Amino acid sequence: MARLRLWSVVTALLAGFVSVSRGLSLTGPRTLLVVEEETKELFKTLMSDLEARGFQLDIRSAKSESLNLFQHEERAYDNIVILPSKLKGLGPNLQSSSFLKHASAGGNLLVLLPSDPDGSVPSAISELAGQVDVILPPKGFTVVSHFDKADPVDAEHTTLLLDLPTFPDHTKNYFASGDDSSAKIIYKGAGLAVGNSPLVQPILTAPRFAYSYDAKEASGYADDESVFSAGQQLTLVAGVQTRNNARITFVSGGDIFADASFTKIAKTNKMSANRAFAKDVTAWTFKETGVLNVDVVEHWGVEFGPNIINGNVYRIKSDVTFSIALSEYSYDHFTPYTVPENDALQLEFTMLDPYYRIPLTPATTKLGLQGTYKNSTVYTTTFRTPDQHGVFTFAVNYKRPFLSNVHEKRAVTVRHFAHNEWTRSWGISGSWPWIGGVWVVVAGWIAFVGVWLWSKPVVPVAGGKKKQ
Amino acid sequence: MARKSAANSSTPRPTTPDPSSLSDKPAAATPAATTTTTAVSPSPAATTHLSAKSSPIEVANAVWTRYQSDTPQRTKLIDVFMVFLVAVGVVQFAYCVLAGNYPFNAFLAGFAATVGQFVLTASLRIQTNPANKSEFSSVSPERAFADFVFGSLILHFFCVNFIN
Repeated sequence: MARLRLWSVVTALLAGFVSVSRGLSLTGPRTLLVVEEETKELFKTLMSDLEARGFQLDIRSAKSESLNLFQHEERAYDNIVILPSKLKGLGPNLQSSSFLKHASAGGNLLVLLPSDPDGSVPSAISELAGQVDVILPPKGFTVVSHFDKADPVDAEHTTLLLDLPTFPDHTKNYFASGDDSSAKIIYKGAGLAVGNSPLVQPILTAPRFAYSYDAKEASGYADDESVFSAGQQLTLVAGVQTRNNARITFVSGGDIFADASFTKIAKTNKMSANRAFAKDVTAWTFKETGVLNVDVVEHWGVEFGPNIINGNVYRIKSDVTFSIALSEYSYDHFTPYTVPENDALQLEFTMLDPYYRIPLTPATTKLGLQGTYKNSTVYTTTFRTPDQHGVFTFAVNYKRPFLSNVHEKRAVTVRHFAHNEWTRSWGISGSWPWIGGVWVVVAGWIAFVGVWLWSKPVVPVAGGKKKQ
Repeated sequence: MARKSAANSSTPRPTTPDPSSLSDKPAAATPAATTTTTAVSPSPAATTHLSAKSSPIEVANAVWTRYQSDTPQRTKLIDVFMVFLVAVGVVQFAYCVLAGNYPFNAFLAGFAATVGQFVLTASLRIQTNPANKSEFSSVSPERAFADFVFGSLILHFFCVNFIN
């Protein structure tokens, strides 16, 4: 008996250790690396960095017979990395449909496309790209920048130095978290273009004077025929977040994450930013960053205070407080989420259409839930329900680039006034003249009745004026 | 009123029993001021001799004099009360027009109180007027007054309730 108990303690401890050493990605640690022998050596640092962050790498060749993304209809891997190879196809187990099935089941995918213009993109990958509205250039294209001397580092102008990505100030930047914000990214590749889908976001775009063109067929010149895309329109790294928050990232020019790029740049005499950028991109793709969590949603009527929380019924024209606690995942823990300065978290009070769309502000006063959710920011607002009864919905619809979707809905009934909740008429000063009018009539009537009874006519003199 | 009393004094008026009380009596005079005239039977001399050429002022004076002399005191009292109700009703309606009708139920209650009271009082006047005695042979003035009081109480109850 005692031995059994000891054994269970040991297993519990072991289980504890296992869970500690597990990858801290929100999707999971099981990571498939699809890589051929000849390129394996080129990405050693990337692999070791991933392993250091807790990912369990399963390094397989695309040609491996036993490779299967699903086992018993469950995802066999949480994350997939496809490294560039010379293969024209990825084999029967790695079809674009199985990648999409993987994403539909919540798995993430990082695709590194070859940097070399001669490298081939497997048909499964180009098919997948087309399905998520990412457009890949044909074979033989490469990005060049002839007109800005700061960009290229080689004679052909194909290896470029790029600034870390910047975003408008209403978008949080998850891709420049390196120590040195002025460090440059070494890039060489073909580029890609993104379509109009709101699910696709460019992470890294080309500098102004760069363009991607057919370096083989039209090496001497570039015209409409041979240029794929140019300038800011030319995307180098694109992230797709599906509607179920799975992430697919395309990196055109996989060498950006190769060991050869994690080096000192002779031109600037500084370390390249590639390693930090690789960390940021993999962290975002594998859901270590940019994941929002709704910790709690609370609403209550101001009349009764937070004693009655998340009730079903509110009255029209009554004050209601709505609070939502948001936290954001950052590698291994949740932190309070702060909305970027020029962005707004909004509450919609909706019955078919939003009647109100109100900004939610971080709670300054201590609310009931402030103490219990230390790792989240409580956003709150107080508003007056509209003069319309029906079934309304508190909705927070917060979908932003690089952030997982927040779409919280709480339906409540908004009732009309009960008959004893209306303002009494004497509470409305406008009615006083009429109230006075009624009572003046009553008083006049009483006076009339009194005088009438008092002024009974003298019967005998007139003779038959009254009363027979 | 001044015009009226001036006309009164200028017109030869032979028969009113108490001319002193007449000359200074306004239209909305208190019932007490006219008590002395009520018991007096209509005097035939009250009708001045109006010709077809008489001025409107003379006609009005004759009507007024005739009213003064021939109307029983209680009927005059009713008339005074009805004038009062009309005044209150007009004031309330004017307020509604000028200041808006919110809250509307209060306006309805206040205005309906004056209108309803006016109608009830008019009924009382018809039923208690000695001139209509033949029409209402089955309704005694006491009965008419009791009906009036009952109806008025119901009216007041409804108005006060309706005003909330």
